[in-house]
Amino acid sequence: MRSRLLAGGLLFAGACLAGSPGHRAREPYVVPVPLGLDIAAPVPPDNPLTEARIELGRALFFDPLLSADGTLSCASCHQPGRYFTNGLEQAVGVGGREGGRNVPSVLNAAYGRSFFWDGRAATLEEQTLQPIRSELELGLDLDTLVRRLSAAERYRTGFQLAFDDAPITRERVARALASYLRTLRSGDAPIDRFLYGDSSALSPDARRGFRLFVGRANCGVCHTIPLFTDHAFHNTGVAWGSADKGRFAVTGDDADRGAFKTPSLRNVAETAPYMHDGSIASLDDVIAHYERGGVANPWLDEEIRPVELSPAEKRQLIAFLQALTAASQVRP
Amino acid sequence: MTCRTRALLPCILVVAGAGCRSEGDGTAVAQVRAGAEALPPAHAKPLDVTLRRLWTSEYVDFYASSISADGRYLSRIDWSTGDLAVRDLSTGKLHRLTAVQNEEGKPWEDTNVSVFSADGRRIVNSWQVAPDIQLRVLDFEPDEDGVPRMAEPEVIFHNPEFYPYYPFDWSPDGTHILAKSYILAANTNQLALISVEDGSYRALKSFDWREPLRAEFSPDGRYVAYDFPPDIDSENRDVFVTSVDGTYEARIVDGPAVDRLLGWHPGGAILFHSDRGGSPGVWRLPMADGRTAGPAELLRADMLGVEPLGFAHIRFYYGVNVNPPRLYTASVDFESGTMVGAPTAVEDPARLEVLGWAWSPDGKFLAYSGAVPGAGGSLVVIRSDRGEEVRALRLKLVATRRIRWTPDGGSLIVFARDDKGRRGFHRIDLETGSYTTIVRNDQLDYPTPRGDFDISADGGTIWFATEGPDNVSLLAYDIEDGSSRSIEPAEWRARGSAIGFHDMRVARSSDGTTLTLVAPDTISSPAQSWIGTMPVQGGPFTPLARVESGNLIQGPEWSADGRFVVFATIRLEGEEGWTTWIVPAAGGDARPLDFGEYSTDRIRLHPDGRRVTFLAGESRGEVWVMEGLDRGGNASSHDDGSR
Repeated sequence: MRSRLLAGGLLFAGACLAGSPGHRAREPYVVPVPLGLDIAAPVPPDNPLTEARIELGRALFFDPLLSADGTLSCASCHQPGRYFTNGLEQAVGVGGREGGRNVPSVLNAAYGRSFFWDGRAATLEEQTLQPIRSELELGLDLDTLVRRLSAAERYRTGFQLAFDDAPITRERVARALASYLRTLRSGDAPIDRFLYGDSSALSPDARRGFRLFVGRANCGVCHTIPLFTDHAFHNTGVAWGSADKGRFAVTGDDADRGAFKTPSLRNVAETAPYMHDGSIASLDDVIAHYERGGVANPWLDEEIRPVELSPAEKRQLIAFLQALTAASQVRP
Repeated sequence: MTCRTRALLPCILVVAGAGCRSEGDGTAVAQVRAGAEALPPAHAKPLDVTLRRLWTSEYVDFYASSISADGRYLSRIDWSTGDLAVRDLSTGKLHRLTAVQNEEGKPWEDTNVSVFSADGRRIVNSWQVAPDIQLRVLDFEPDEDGVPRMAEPEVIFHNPEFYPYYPFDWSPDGTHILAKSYILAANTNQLALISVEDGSYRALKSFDWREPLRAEFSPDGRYVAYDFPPDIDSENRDVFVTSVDGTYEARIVDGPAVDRLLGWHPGGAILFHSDRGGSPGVWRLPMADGRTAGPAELLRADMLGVEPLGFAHIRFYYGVNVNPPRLYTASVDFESGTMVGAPTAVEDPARLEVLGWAWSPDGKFLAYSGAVPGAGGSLVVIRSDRGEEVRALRLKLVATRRIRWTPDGGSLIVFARDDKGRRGFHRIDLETGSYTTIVRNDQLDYPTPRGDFDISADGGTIWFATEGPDNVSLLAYDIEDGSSRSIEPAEWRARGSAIGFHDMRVARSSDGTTLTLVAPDTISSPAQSWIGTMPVQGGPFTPLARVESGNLIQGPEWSADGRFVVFATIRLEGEEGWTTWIVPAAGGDARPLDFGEYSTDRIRLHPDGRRVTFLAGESRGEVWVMEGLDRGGNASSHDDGSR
């Protein structure tokens, strides 16, 4: 109920901001870019960023109307206070069903090149509807979604403002949600301040950790600046032998067996547990996983090899990973 | 690809047939080029443009140059001093704009890439103050005779974490510099927008270890075009456009070809160079509001090695280096220090820009590496002594400047960048063409800056110098177990980094017992370098020859019989070329080797003890202008020059 009031208030606020009927709300909106992130975050030509679409998407994101039983919203798993994750091993959907995979943060999704751990969605617009209709997540079929939204005055107004004419369609729901997600940018971490001129921003341990990260520990070959992900898919052996084949399920390419998308490490110290299945509880355990050289299997990525780290080096690596936490949380 | 190369390809295929397929990364040349040849050109009928050659001179690094707004001046590096200079194309005179004073004991300074502003009144350049790179701007003010005044540059950007080593363009309003910047610590390249007024740096787009070769603003300043590989494994390049506000990006030139951005014409079209259709040529793509506005049109075919210099008025200026250096083999009498007979050019069907070469231990094969002009990637060519057998291996290693054969002749060890841009030592299996990494710079306590190395007689150890912030070492690295130990003379270790043998070059004698080294000594006054020897297991250094500061040194190498050490020097200031020297390993005076008209910095000695192989050539730089870009339609074209 509180979420519905909040959602309604947000829509109302959006309408008020419009000034002359909807004009300002439809003007192109340029998202501020935090320190350390790229300016380039392309927006599809058929879904230009406007305040109206962003506000509509924000309302939808927080609205449990989007779940089958009206109890969950996108924000139930992507919690702003937890850097848009849920702090659990896996997603929990309607009826307490477990989703099977860890909840990835949606911060900086604007820079993504594919979505979900297996990359099966090429765009945000393609991604946003899938959790809604997935029975393991919000469990709501999309026709019902459209009927619910069409029955709500606040959404009829919101979609009219955002899309210039009446019909509420699943595609427009996707675009609105994608527009909101494009505004969630997280940067300005100590590593960014260090790179951009503040030599005191990283502690000595974090500096040594940075050198290890991009050097002998070989983390930087996949976790590349500025998002600390190469957006590619790698098999590190996590959950090898399980039913989840990762990227292989999308491509059918044997080389993709057990491969999952490299997650961004921004805010990683705040988003435990880790890996696609949430099976690794702490950063210490993550380091131990890579120290061992992952889990051996026929498709293990060639860059995953055992590396010997002293206790001091492990401490330094963790200090560096902690330095990837943004100076302030993103306001939802 | 030239007709000459096409005719020779079948020979390469026949000989290399058994070796073309590999389980590893090696890919035969023919397989790569077949893709480009199969692509039909978008518009095969050249348009009506004219080409004029404006100037011919010595070899020029055109990648570092740009044309002034009036087309009269060409910015460039003055290699004799490291200064920023301009060449007045109307008089041919070179005018220095800066006056760097490099002194022993101070960080080395020199300029690199420079770009004129759109109004021609300022120049931005990347300026090295070792180890950092700054961006500097200076005013360009020729006097009434057209002679530019020397100017005091202003540092607009300096951050040790970012190397803005390639300023590409000025924004049309003159407020920002579009630059390629490298984050050394993270092996990442970026396109950055740097404010001229306050030096603020914003990353427009980050890549990874790969880099755009060129980027430019659109005439209205709202967009940036750049070229980049389409996929992580591709050696092709496509052209992209991104908006300066970051909201728009599109791939505007794609296909199985190497498409390189040449520039954004003031009239709105993009020029690019492509090998599509099997012939390297210059193309034009109409653009409007950052989007394509028509099909690509071929402006001129058979144009290899075009280096863009920018636009003046509406004309496109570009540079070409012709007659690039090539490999020669010559017989030498080491006793008298003279060549016997004339050198013979090594036939190279691929016409590589040769980087490194070495003879096999049995002297039957020559391996050399280089880049294919105007195309992506690099090759290693294995050529039998008389040239009857030639194999070309295309590798995912680049910049393979240092090559050594393993003692068993079955593989090469190179210092190169791998497919993720990481420098290191790699072994290339000559049977399969695949490579395995021995050790990378980031896996060492300290990196080896130049990767000059040699390998032990048993093939188990490689020697190379590493350099840390206050520590330099000559390492003996065990290939098998990855262990290493320092073997530099104890007295050098005591003197620490002042010895500064980061430029150390090292070569092993054929009997496997002795190393020859170059060891700069910056403690002594005046500073100097030493050519000398030491045992392979470590021990005292025996100096053989002293080289005064102010000289660059290449080599040294051993003669096959171990009696002589050969090295080359060139004065940093002055017009003289390289001098090759031989010095007896047992001690004695160094004598120049008479190479006649050939000036070469690197020679490799053949195991037969009589021959040497070196790189030499009368390379020339030419500046050309393409005119008529605002015309279109007819096929007739003419040019004034030999191209």
